[in-house]
Amino acid sequence: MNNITENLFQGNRGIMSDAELEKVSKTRILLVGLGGLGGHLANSLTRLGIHAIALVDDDRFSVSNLNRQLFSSTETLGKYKTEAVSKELMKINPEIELTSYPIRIQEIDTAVFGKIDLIIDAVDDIKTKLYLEAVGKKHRIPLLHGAIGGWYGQIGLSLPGSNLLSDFYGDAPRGLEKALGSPTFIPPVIANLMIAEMIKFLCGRFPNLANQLMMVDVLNHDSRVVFKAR
Amino acid sequence: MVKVIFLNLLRSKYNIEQLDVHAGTIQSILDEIKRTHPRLDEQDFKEALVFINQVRIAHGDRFPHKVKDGDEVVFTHFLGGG
Repeated sequence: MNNITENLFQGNRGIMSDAELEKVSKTRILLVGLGGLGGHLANSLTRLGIHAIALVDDDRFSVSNLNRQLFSSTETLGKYKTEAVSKELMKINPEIELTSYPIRIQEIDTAVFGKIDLIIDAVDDIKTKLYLEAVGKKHRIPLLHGAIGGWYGQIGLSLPGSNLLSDFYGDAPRGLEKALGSPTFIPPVIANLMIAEMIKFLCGRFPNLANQLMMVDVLNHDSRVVFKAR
Repeated sequence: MVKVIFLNLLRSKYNIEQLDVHAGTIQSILDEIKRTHPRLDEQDFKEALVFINQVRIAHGDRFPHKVKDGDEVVFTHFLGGG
């Protein structure tokens, strides 16, 4: 183990065994979306010691991102999010293996999925979230789902074969995020709750959100599982 | 009795966390809640999702859907932002 990885592991040893740290770090991640949730997810995944992350986002940083997107700054405005985020992650761990796809996930070569152990949904539209679940189903890859809006968040884990998101979103009209906006502090809360659920799932800890969806209400101090896929 | 839970925006707007109501249909439950909470606006429930015992009720079918004693009904809205 090199020094960087050892330093990253050290702080996490209080809650994880060396075997668990090793297992989590070797999980090959496909992170789709590098905005509010995605930036914080990328940051935490890297600091957890994850060895390999494929980053997917076709967008560039803009001024409207500054209030909440971790790697947005006056220096990164106009840059592709994949490029700017990769640069910052390399400063945390120069040994990390990053692959950048500054394109839509729908355009990605399907051969990529053969090298992925977990897909993370940090996108901001429901159609793409459902697409990711379909990809996970087809390629037998679990999908860690997240969504935010206002004071609220949603987290779930769709295992291959599950219709968690398609059943959850189903025929309902639209979500609240456009009306509620995207406050500064909600993305890191929900992103790191997603990381916690990822760790629990990978390490076989319970309770976890396998095929379940949890809603988080930061304003009213509440989180609960509202939906279980059949 | 049926346990009704308001989550997220509905909880924040109406300051209602949990209520016990009589069994019936989703519509009758809302009617009962409105009698004790006249501020309730049915428009807010037009886009709300309904879960009964952690099973999602199809959006088009939710208001006439039957609810029995001991059921837990959750009203909330979904999120899609990232």
